[in-house]
Amino acid sequence: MDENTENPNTPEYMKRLTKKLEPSDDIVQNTLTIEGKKVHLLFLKSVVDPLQLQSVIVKPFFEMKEERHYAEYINSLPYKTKLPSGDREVMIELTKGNVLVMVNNQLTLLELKIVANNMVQEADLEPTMHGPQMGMSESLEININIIRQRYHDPSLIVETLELDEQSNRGIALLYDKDRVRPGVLDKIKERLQPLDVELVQAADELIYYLNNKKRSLFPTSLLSGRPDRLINNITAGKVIILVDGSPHAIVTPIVFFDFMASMEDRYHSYWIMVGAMVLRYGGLFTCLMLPGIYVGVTSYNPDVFRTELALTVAASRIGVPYPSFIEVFFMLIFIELLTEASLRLPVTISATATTVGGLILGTAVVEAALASNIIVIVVSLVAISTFVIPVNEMSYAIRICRFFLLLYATLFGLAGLVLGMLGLIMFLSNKDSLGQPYLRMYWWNREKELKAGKR
Amino acid sequence: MSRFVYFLITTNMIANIAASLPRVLLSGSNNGAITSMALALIFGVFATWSVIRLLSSFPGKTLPELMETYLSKWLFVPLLLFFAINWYVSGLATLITYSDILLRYLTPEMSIYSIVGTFILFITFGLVMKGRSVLYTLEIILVLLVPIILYFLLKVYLDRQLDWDNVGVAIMNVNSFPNYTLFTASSYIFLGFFDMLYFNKYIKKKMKFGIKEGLIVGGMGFFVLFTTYFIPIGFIGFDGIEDILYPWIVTTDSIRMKFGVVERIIFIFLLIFLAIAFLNIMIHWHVSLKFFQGALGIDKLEKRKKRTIANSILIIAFWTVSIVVAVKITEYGLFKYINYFYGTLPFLFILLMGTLMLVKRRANS
Repeated sequence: MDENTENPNTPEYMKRLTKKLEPSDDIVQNTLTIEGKKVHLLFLKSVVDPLQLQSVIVKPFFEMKEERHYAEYINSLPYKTKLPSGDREVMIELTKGNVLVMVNNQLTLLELKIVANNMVQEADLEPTMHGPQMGMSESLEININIIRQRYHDPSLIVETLELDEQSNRGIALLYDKDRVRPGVLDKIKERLQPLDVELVQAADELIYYLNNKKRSLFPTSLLSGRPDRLINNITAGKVIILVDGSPHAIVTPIVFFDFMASMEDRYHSYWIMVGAMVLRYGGLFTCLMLPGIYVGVTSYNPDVFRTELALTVAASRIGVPYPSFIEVFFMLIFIELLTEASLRLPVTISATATTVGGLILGTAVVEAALASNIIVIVVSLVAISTFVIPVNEMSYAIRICRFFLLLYATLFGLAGLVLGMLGLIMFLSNKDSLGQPYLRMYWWNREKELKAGKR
Repeated sequence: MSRFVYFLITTNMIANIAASLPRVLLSGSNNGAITSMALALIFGVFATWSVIRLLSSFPGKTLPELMETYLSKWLFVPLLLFFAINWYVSGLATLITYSDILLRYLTPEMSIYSIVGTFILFITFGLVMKGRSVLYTLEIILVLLVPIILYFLLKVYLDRQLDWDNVGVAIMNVNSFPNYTLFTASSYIFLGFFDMLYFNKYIKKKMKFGIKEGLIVGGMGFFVLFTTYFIPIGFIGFDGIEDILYPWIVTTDSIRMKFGVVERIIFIFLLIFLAIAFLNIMIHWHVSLKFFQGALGIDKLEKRKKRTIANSILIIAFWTVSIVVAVKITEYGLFKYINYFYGTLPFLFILLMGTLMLVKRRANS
């Protein structure tokens, strides 16, 4: 572009911007001239769609008779975006794939960007059999489009913000302005504004900063890649946060029960849904309490079970050389390792890992009398029930809580287990997600009854 | 009336089934227990009615706030301290009775320190929790437990060993004068409204206490008193029941689930009532802590750090007292002192009514 930068006709403004962007190779500063008409273009060719550029900007220029007409034409294009005032802001716009057009002393920004990974992907975070199968893409615009196209209501508001970090990532807040809970929006913006971080790459990462707490166990925002779940939550008055480059969206504020709901519940008939719910909560309690119950019953109160069962348990523990809590603890750690390992491995190898770990080692451990038969059953049951929890993050949190309850049961027996469970409930109901209580029964309209009191 | 009021009252009632109330009642089984219970039923509903009525004219206000606004300082500090100590002791009584039960029936080999220690962590958390969350916790735990409690009661009432003739014998003893201790002990189950003196802060809906509410509270009270007193008699018999230490637990141990994984229902009973008792202790101490804070002016302290330190000192004091008492007290002493504590109830009620009426009169003028 050497001859162009030398071009004396190029306006000062364009020259200045080009200077600042140099020595990038993909910068293009071009002046088209024909029959006294003139247009100056400035863009980064790696992020601009060349076909569109050709058909939208270049071709009409050579077809139109007067510069005045062309200026009007450029001004009326739907690609036009707002022109920010500062140099830096304009340059950020250019890096996003906007084209700066100067014709007849009139500056216009046209959005002709091309995004490579804008394919809509399958929703693999929370797969369901029924309902929509496709999830979101990794492009912000496409994702907004996906949601808009499924929620045709003028009250759906899309607010785009730019994060104040190194990559100037675009994020979008989507909500239904008639339904959104008052105060929530302000709170979200209040937490996003002073965000002092180097880089945010994905929605998953942003959640951490939204949380406003350095260390936390339970997720206070839901991460979802399913458009139907997002729409569902918009209808319920929640705010969706999309992050550019992430196929998942943040749903906030959230309550505990949202983590226990699968989208599939809506696509089944009522009793099937109730059955699935019972199963799911059963799984939740099983995976939380079963290790503790085993320790409490074998080490503290063998008389809780009926005699036959107590004898069976005791018989299977014959030859196990250490107390029950060590047994449970080892086996739980083992199963966690197995889960973690099969997550990281490619699908083809992970089957081997599961077979070797689960089947061969499980049998060998029992035969070597390092653990009882019953504990193998207990631990497998616990591992299976963990996967019944539909949302991944909650299942991670529950897995950690389990160890805590196991510890309490080890120290204080069955009474400790019950109190630990109560403590967990207390902890969850004391938690809040952006000012909304995290765990509560919501069958009556609570807003009327309880004040949102502060401590 | 907001359902949280019922929850508070219900928890207090249920928690007393397993604690020392049955023993107190049954120890006086031929000494005017029935008439005392009848009197207590009337008194309990009346007390609930009067306090809720008085409190309903100050929506969203707690007792410490009201007293501070309308009473002079030398009156309000000792009164509030009295209420706070009384309510602390009521939680302490449940805690120690329950530790004793656990020690006797669930984990006999454990030391008393670790049994009290079981409670420490979570009750402390309950004390510093937001008041609103206490109510939410209460609701969720009740929703989880009430089905099991109902199953348990059904099991008890339908058991074949329940001999209604024994109950008939007990009812024959109706013609004796009520006894002061028995009366105060059985009135005590209605005292759930006391928690409302603080939790009133969170209830938005205006409280009203009419005939319907009176019938519900009275009905619940009647059922709880009836179950507490007559069911053990029905199982164990009328003669000699006054010597049994925990009649209700002996009773439940005689029931079994024929096909259950857990055969002896006593374990379900112990664990469920442990949860309810824990809730009750937590709520009482939460209220008590708030009263202490009001009386000692802790919530008025400017600096957050100072407030935290003062609160920690209070909570540590709560714990020290409870551990010391739990270790020192004997079973006989526990029974005796709980009777004394029950005896203060009428004074507590008269003082509370006096305070509330005075506050109301000053507020109106």
